Amino acid sequence: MQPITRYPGLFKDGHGKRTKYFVQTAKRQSFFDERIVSHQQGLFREVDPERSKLFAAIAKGVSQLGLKEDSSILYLGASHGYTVSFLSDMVTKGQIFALDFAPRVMRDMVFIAEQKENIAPVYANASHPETYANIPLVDVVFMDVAQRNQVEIFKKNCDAFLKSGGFGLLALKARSMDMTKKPKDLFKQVRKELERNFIVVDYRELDPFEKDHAFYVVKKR
Amino acid sequence: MDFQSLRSELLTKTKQQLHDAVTIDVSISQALSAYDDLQVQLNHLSKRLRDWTGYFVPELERRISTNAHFVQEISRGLAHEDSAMGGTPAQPTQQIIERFAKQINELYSFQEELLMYLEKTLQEFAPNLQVLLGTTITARVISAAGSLEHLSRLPSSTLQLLGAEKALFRHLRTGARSPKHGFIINHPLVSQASSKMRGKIARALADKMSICAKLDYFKGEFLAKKYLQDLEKRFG
Ligand SMILES: C[S@@+](CC[C@H](N)C(=O)[O-])C[C@H]1O[C@@H](n2cnc3c(N)ncnc32)[C@H](O)[C@@H]1O
Repeated sequence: MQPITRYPGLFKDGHGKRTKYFVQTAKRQSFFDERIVSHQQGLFREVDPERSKLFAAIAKGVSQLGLKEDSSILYLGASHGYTVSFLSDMVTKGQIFALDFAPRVMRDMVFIAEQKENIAPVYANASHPETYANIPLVDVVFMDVAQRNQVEIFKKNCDAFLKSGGFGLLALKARSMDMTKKPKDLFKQVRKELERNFIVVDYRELDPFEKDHAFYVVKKR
Repeated sequence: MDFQSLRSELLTKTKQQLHDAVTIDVSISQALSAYDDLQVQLNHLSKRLRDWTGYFVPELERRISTNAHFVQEISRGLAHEDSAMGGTPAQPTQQIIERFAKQINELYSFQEELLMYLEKTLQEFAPNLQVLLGTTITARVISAAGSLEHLSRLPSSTLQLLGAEKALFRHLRTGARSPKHGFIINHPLVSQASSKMRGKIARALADKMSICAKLDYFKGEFLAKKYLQDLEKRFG
């Protein structure tokens, strides 16, 4: 078990294709039937990069994410809370606002938020930041909503909630934006669009973990 | 405000919002899905019963082609005496087959019950759509839209194609022929029309559907009967 020092609380074990990723955790508690291993260094929850675009990007070697142990994060498209639950163990001194607009998944998110003191649930539509204006400025805006106008929603939220110098992390699903365009062309187009508003720090395509998905790391000026 | 106060405020608020989001639309979609699930299971179970029973009453199995009817017949008793080809079931075998048929029969009645539940609910919640489209199509369009509210905001061109998303994507991606109707293909006016007229009728029906959805959502007048008669006069 070796720490990946670029990111807080993250460890890996093994090499190449068989690398496994772990997040250090205080409690022996698994939220999604993930394996928990104990080690001299402590307890670790195994994270599956095929279930999380954030960890797929990490497995693809993304250079920086702007995450620190005290980061505050606005997470758009929290879903059942898979990725959020791991992030929660990484930003032990930080806070996560976990937002989604689907009642079915928000229910699961609430159960996790009740057990993790650094998660607050937000039931709202990410297209309408004015409906959750009570949230403070954050260090990181993460978005994974798989919507047609993903980029526009992302920009809106970074405008409203991201501190200057803060990081925006965008997981983009090509097929939900435009079925007729080639994913590669779309990814290029989105990159250009992001460059108009941000400094694009890194970019990864997420295959083989996730087909036709890209991950952008941007910094607010 | 410090984070823990904000968090506990947001937890309370989210719970309240989730509580309020449980409207009757939820039960319409779930009942419809339960109906569809049962259909699959019923086909499966009826086939098993036919397979099993066929060894004892092959003539009967061949004669009755509808599953529901066949199941009902066997649940009344496995009368094997008049079969020349069929085997003779031992007493426990006969009993268990009859019990099996009764259970399936019970599920068929429950499926009917679900339909009646939907009908009653929709008569109250979406009376115009229910009359214009019938119970199952109304339930399908509400379920596909997510709610009556959302349905009432969709343009009639979208309503016409609701339920044809796969064909629509295929059209966009490969240039295959564009679909002309979704769930409303099952409406008698559309399904009984000549293929030349279908597109036209589907469009007219979707226009009325759009009005009915708004009437129902805003608890307006009951006009569906008249709309349906107009359509029948024009196309029937
Ligand atoms: C692909 S899932 C996210 C998975 C999650 N990020 C994870 O890794 O565990 C996309 C989620 O975005 C949500 N979503 C889509 N559009 C949204 C919007 N406009 N506002 C809020 N949530 C949205 C959906 O309800 C869904 O739960």
